Amino acid sequence: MIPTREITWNVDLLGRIALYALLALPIGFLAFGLARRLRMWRLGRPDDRFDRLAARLWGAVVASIFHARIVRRQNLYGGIAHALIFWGFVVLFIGTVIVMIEHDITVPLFGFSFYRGNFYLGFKLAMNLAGLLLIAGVLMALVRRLVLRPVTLESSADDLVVLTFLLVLSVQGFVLQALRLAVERDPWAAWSFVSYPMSLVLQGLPERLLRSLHLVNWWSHMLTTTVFLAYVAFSKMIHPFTGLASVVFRRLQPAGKLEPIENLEEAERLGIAGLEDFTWAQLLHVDACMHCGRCLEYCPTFHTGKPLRPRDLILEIAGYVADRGGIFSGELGQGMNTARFRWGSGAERELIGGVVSTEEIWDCTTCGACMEQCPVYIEHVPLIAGLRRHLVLERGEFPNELTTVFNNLERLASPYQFRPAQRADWTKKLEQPVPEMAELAASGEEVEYLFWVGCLGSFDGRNQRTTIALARIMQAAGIRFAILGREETCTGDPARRAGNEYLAQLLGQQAVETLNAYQVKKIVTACPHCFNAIKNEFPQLGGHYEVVHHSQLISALLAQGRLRLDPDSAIARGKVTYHDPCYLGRYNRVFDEPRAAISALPGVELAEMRRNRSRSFCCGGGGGRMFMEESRGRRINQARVAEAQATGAEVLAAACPFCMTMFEDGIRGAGVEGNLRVLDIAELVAGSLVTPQEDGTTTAEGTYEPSG
Amino acid sequence: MTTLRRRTTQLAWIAVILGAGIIVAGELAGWGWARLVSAALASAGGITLGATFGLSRPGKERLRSRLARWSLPMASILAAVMVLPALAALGLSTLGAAMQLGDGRAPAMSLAGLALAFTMLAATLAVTVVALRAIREARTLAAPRGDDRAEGERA
Repeated sequence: MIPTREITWNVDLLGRIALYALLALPIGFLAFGLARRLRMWRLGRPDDRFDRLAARLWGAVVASIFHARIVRRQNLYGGIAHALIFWGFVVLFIGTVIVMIEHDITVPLFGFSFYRGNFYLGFKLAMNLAGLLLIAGVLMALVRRLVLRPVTLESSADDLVVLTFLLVLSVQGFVLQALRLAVERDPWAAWSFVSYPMSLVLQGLPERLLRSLHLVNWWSHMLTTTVFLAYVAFSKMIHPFTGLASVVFRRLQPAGKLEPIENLEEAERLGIAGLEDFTWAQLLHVDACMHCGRCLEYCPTFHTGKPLRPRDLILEIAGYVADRGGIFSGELGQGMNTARFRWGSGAERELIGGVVSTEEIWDCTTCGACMEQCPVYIEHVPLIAGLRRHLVLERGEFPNELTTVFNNLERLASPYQFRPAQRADWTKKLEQPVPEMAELAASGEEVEYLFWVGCLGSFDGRNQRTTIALARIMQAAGIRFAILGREETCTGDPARRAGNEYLAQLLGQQAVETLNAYQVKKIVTACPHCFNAIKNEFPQLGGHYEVVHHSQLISALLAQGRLRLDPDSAIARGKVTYHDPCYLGRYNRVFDEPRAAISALPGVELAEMRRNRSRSFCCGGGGGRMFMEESRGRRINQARVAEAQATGAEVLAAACPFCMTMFEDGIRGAGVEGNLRVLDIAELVAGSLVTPQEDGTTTAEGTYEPSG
Repeated sequence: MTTLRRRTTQLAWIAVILGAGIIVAGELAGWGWARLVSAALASAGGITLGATFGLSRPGKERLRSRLARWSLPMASILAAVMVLPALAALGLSTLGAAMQLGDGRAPAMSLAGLALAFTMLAATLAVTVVALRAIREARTLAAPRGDDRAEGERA
């Protein structure tokens, strides 16, 4: 006896007819829903997202099949639940297709049956396992939504309806199989290891009853499948389609690069203020949001109680574009713990002010933690930058504090009220002179590196110490470098992130012209914001340079033995914790070099904070936020300082002048000046350097002076 | 409606109806090949109809207001039809187990079967109730027309 089964066992004629005759209904609904979405996405502006197709597709495979951004350490339970549902569902779907191939193609057309013997037994085993995993995943998800209720998760009716469908479909499958096995009593029934024990208890019932139950359940299963498929397009179950599309059409350019407004002078609309201002990829991305809340896990504004919650912002925009774009949207409502359908919302309101509040728009630090976590690669920061651009360039509405910053940038090419002539004042504190590019160009000399000091490093007293420390390190290592001095300008980073694209392009252009005039090839900077702008955004303006962050250079110099460290140096001893600046770590993936530099220091033990590397927590200073008041919620810098303190470290190592300023403030604000101090990596290394003295002995450099 | 769209829609409807007709004839006559042909026609017709309507300019979407208004009754009826047969079978497994008491057939397996049936029954019942309650709450909060945020807040 060869193991197999009759595929439409116990199904009446009407059932067999309905199975095919009604097929058009769910497929039609699915096609309708997808076409509506496609129509809406096409309302967006052009955006070339069809390059590097192989990379796009591979990324989609990694993201979907391997759940790259779903199963993560910080959200393991939710990730495993999703993986179980996904894999269970996929295997069951493949199983259905296999049965269809046997029943509708190979047997009727070729008289060939493969659904038998060992294949059949393996198939049964796999299907039972998949069904069990699916049920386990659904139950785990339900427990998460109804019992565990993580703070980042909000549940809508749609979430629960979808989970109910999945559970009911799986249970029906097992019930059908158990009822058939109870009647047929296959000798190989044990391969169906879930249905088989159930069939044993059902065997006590009369066969007629079992057959009737089977038929009614078969019809019920068919109806459930039909309704579920029809529901897919109007529920979160559309995400296998939209999520996959969102990943395929993700941004492949550097994460830290904001796209410029092309032809700024001639552009009719600036920034994002309505449906027509989004690119099609942005419309696709917001449509793909499944309100999973992963974007909130490391979001500084969410964790300090500010109005901006990246998920809610995206859902608000999603509701708006769904209504304007004419699609059903069974999504969360306004957020804020209110789960409801979103039908009919947003159509009458303005995007900015009506749907998205200005507080949400200005609270963002552009740290990119949301984008780093999003499983469908939604690009929150470019969206927020687009909204800011509209407010600044079209409406002239921005926080008061930015008025001074914009004025200074326009007049003095720096956010601060210092004259360009003061940019090189810090060099006077050095024993050895630091040449300027203009002098070297006049004498025809060349340098290895241009030291891009940055505005904070040039003018801010605290950050000047970092600048001096880095200059000393380079001098100690024998590196030939020069600065631009009065010719250096802001890169435009704060202006761009604050929405003033006009000013950003002006400043960027000016900087690129200066650098190109000196034929600069290699740049070192201690500012991750300048680093990011020069590396990722200057190429937009014709500036192509090899740029290194000072932590990379210092790490390399230490590895090459070009810096000698004094083992008795006392600048920092014991535990030092390191804060990953967003624009260095998350945006440009520089994680190891700063740690290598710190670890090389004698007597220092690197202690990691709870949130580190790509999951670092912002200092609160990016996106122009350093220049604005933080009036809502708790202070981000103090939250991070508390985290640094929790490591037991006495030194919080920074690698960014913005972070430095924020932490100095945070430490003062928290009143922990006696327990924790902030030092830049350059200060730590320079303070441990062995430098030759005139009498032939050596001593540590010791550049650190206690602040406050 | 453009001529091309009208023709496409007509052809799609023909495919759907033809697909249904072929399966009826096929099942009555025992033509195995009819299943594939019918499925292909029904799928092609369904996809074309869905895509044609989906890509067209959205109308006033009265349907969605009605769907929102009738979501709970619809969901309740569908839930009953979809869930009750499975619950009945799972519930009757208790009776089946009782009727086999004492026959000594694989008691551990039967116990496992009973446990599985009960787990599935309880989970299905609980989840369905929870989902229906959530739909009711969502329906209360949702306003099908106009400024639903304000409506929601009032609710």
